[in-house]
Amino acid sequence: MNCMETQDTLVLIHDGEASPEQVDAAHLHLSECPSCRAEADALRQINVWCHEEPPPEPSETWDLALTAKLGDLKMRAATEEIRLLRQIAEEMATRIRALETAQAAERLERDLMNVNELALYLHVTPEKVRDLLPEIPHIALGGDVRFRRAAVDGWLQLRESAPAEAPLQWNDWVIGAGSHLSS
Amino acid sequence: MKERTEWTDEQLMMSVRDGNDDAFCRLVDRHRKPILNFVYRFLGNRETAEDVSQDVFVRLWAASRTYVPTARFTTFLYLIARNLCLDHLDKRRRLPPLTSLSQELGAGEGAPRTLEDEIADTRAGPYGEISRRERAAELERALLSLPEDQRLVFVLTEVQGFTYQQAAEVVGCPPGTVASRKSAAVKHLRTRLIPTRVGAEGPG
Repeated sequence: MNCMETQDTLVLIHDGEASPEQVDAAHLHLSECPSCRAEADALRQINVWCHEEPPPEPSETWDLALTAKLGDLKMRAATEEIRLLRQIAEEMATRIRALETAQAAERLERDLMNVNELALYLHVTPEKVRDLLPEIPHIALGGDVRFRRAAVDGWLQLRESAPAEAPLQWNDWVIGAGSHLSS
Repeated sequence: MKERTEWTDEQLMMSVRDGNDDAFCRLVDRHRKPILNFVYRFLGNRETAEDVSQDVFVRLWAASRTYVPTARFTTFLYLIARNLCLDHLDKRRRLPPLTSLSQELGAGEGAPRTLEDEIADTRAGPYGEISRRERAAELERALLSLPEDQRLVFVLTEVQGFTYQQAAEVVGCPPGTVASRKSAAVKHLRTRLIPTRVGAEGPG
């Protein structure tokens, strides 16, 4: 071991980080090298100086200042929490609105019923629907028919309030029907 | 009073996370002196150290909500302290420099004087007492003259007694780098503090 290696090892030994082999090699070198012995002394000296002065004591107001800083932080945290809660509430409201719009659109889509769906809606058989077809406002699509829920509802309402014997003109409810259907 | 079974730092910290203020007080009580000493040695100013050491515990409290005991608590704590010290140094670098204590004052008669000489307490006291105080000031200046990475390693291992592994965790480098920085720091301090060259057997 040369002087440079020894001096690096001295630091390791001082910090308890040297291997037993390193310790032996360094001691061997030290026994015959006064200049490295002086370095070892210097290292010890530095360590003594580092611990000579007692560590600083926290001042009397240390605790008080910490409490104040913590109070400040807790208050900011609470304010921040309220802000976050508000933000979450707003976000929820936005989401609910979006959901409602989507549901409304879905309902609109489902607004168009075929014979079977209308039968379910009216709690009658599909055959009965076909029987009533001339009465019920409907949209002819080639050989097929569709019913708009709003039109059906209107028809039902009229049927409900109208006297049984008074026949009504339903063609007003037909949407997209050909001219041959209008009176 | 009989002390109940002492909780580990990690247990206390978990308790702080669950909102136990008493556990936090115990942690502060346990660590504030070493942290104050660490910050003081690293930044070299008592008032600043006082302020920054409080901030360490404020930061600790704030971090407790997310604390997971994967690392040693002390590593966690000193990591916070290290970051706040470096933040502080960064902030100070952005400010205009203060008048240095050892900067020479304006030209006057006689030997150049520094602010330090002006404010020094020159009243005679017990010889040893003065030389000890001078030595402490000398050590403080020498520490501050170290590059930050070396100073951090030196303070952690020499003053706080950290192992190289622990210091490495705080510094964020391999233990081998801790060893080389420590060695460089010792060489620097040795030349600064003990100028007597080898062989020159002068009186102390």
